[in-house]
Parts: sequence; structure tokens; C-alpha cells
Amino acid sequence: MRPALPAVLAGGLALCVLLNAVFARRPWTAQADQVGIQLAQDGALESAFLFGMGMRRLASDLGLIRLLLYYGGSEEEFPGAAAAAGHEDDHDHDAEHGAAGGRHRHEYDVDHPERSFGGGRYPLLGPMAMRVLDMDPSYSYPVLFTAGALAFNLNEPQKALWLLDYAMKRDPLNPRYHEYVAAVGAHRKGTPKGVISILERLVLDPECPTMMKNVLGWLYYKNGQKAKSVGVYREILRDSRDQGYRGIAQRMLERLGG
Amino acid sequence: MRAVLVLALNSWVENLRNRFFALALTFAGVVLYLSMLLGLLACDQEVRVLLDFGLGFIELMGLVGAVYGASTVVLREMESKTVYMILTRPVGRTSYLLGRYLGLMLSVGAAMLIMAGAHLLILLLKGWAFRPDYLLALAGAFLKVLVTGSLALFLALSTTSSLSALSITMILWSLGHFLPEIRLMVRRFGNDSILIMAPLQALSWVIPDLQLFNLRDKLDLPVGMTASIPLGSWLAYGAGYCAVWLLLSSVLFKRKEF
Repeated sequence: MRPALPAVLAGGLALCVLLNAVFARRPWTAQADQVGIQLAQDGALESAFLFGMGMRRLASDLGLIRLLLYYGGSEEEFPGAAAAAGHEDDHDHDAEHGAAGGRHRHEYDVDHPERSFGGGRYPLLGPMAMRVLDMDPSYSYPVLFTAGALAFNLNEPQKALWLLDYAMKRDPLNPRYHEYVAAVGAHRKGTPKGVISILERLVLDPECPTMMKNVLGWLYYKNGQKAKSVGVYREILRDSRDQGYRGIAQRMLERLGG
Repeated sequence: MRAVLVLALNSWVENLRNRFFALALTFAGVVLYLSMLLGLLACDQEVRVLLDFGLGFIELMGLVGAVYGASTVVLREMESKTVYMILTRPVGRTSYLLGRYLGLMLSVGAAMLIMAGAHLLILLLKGWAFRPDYLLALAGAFLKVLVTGSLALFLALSTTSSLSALSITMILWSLGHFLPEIRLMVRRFGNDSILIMAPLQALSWVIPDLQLFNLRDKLDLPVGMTASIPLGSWLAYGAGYCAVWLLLSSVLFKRKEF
């Protein structure tokens, strides 16, 4: 006698429950998200779709590409940037940062090479990095890149520290964040030697953004350590995949005679 | 067992001749090329983006091939009555089903391996240092495809409609990736809104946790950490799910009257 179909189906479902109970509930050894996903409204549908397809890393990669496109281009052209900038008009950033706004950022200034790449306001930079982090809490590059840009290029160390704090809540054991906090702290105190000693350690990390190597090269240059500065810019020219920083390194080497 | 193997090999050859697989491979080539373009935009993170896009789309193409094949192959043979030609020989219905399923999965596995070969080549040319985690990630993707393929076969036989089977499988695929979030929701709100959460809780017990096989997400782990991945129990989990869906499919197929 054949068993009734509902009984067979119920048996199958019971087996599924058993499988989930035995295997799927075992704790995973890797770090869990400490805070939980807090997707921003903007682009949430795209992220939800990619999450549903099992492509969380891809969603965070797209977030990073958007962040890099935003920071690598003129900030006025980016959708939503004007509105975001409107909230920050009470700060006189141009006076504070030497008028390194988006419009002029591609003009190379030999006396202030840092201004030709990375200066400006970029109010969406921090929120964009936080969004990438929400999607992949273990992805440290966007945080390191953005914290470096906020602290050293945009002169917003407080925002950099907020971002690092946000990241450390999600990945408290990541030593890179602690090193960055120390570097930003030294930068705020105005101690270039302290910053240099920390950056020298940071740039050894393969995950270190080229931008931080560029900052180190620039600090060496300002500090009169030309040989070390040449070494850093040569390394950028040899290893970096970032055309923008390769260009800066090329120009700095010409200037330094390296 | 011999009948199963003969049918599996026969299905494999049939599928390799199928235009769909040629199309899938061409499409995967285009996508891999697109991932290279996106990689350029990611500057320092080019290799990560290449890795994620490539692995993601290899899995997606495998999924499409498996789900499409599983939800159409048996129904098509039932409609065209070609199933008689096999079942009138000394081949059991379970052997027929198992042979078709294994043949399909062999084809999908072969397509995924070819795509992975092309992907690996691009990655190595871009200077990526090979890590065995890549193979784990690929194995995880194939496990997901195996589980989902068996589910699609069961749904095709129970709904007798390829379109319904395709749609329901894709919904369950998405839910399978949201399972950690579903469990979190049930834990957080389960006591306050028991009636609303009960169906969700029941679903979380039955559907496979596909996020568990998402080893792509663990590619950032230090090399030593991959040793702690409970691969054996995950294999058992995946095999268990496949067995349950195939068993149910076999029960349904045995009751079919042609």
C-alpha cells in the first residue's frame, strides 16, 4: 500500500526541519555583524535585490565604485551632492582648505600637490562609506580610504573619527581602524612626525589605499625627507592601479628630480 | 545504478549540444569582460571587484541553467511522450529521474568549471595570488545550484508548470539568502507578534539556508581561518536537502499517469 501524498510531503518537510535544526543553526566561526544592517533609503532596492541573489559583496563593491566615482569627479555633478552641501554652508571650507574645491581640483599646483587631488567638501563621502560598511561589515578598504580622505585631504578629522568609530562597532577587532584613529589623532595635534611614524606602518598593509601612500610621500616632502618621498612616489608609480595617483606620483618625481 | 549513470551521461551530452549552454557561456564571457571594466573603476580594489563579479555571475549562470533545465526537462519529455521510450525499458522511474538530474548537474558543473577557468585566467593575469578559498567559494556556489536544482525538479513535478516552478524556485532562492535576516526578525519580534511571525518562522525552518554556502563572502578571511569552515557538515546539509527534494520528486513521479 502506497503512503498518502500529504503524509509523504509532511515527512519531507519534517526532514527539512531536521536538517536545519542539525546543521544550519551551528554558529559560524567568522565574525558576525555586530550592529546589523541599516540600509539607507537611497539604492536600498538595488541592494535588496543583490542580497536576495546572494551577492552581498557585489553590492558593497558597487557602493565602493560609486564612492570612488563621487570622490574622483567633480562633486557638483554628483546627484544629491548639491542638497547635501547645502547643509554645510555654515562652514567656510574654501578659506579653511585653501580653495581646493571640485572645480579647480584637476589644476596641478606644484606648491600644494595635495590640492590637485582629493580636496573639496564631498559631504556624501562619509555616508557613502557607512553604506558600504552596512552591506559588508568586514570590508575595511572603503572606511580606510574615506577616513584618510576626510582627515588628510578634506581636513575633517572629526568626521573621519566618527566613521572609524562606526566601523569599529561593526568590526572591533580590526587593528587597521585603531591605527587610523591614532594617525588621525596625531594629525589633529599637528605632529607630522607622529603621523609619519604611524603611516609608515600603515602603508606596509596590502589593503592600504594608495591615497595614504600619497599622504606619506607628501609629508616626507614637507618634512624635508626627499629621498624617502621619492621612494614612496616610485612605489606608487610601480604598484598602484589608480591612474590619478600615478599621475601625481609622476609629477612629484619630476619635481623631486627622482 | 548502471541505468542512472547511462541516463546521466546521455543527458550531459544532450545538454552540451543544447544552444542554451553555448549562449550561457557566451553571456558569461561578456559578463566577465564587463567585470574587467568595472574593475578598472575600482582602482586599488580592481582584483576584489573582478573576483566578486566573476564568482557571482558564474553562480548566476549555473543557477539559471540548473533551474531552467530542472523545471523543463522532465515536463518536456512527458509532453512529447519521449519519456515512454525510456520507461518502457527496464528503467525504474526513480532511476530515470535521478539520471536526468545528475546529467543536468554534470552539464551545469562543466559550464561553471569552464567559466571559472576563464575567470581564474583573468584574475591571474591581473596579478591575483591564487588562494584555495576560490575553489571553496566555487564549491559553495555549486552546492547551492545542486540544492536549488533539486527543488526546481520537485516544484516542476508538483505544479506541472515550468513557469510556476521557475518563479517559485527563484523566490525560494531569494528567501534562502535572506534566512539569517528572517531568523533575526523572528528572534526580535517573535514574542510581540506571534501570529504575524509564525508563517515566517515556519518558512525559516523549512527552506535551505543558502547563505551558509555563500563562501564567496568569506574570501576576506585570513588564510588560516578557512580551515575552520565546517565543510563536511555543509556538504552533508546540501546532500541532505538534495536527497529530500529528489525523494519527494520520485514519489510524485511514481504517481504520475501518462
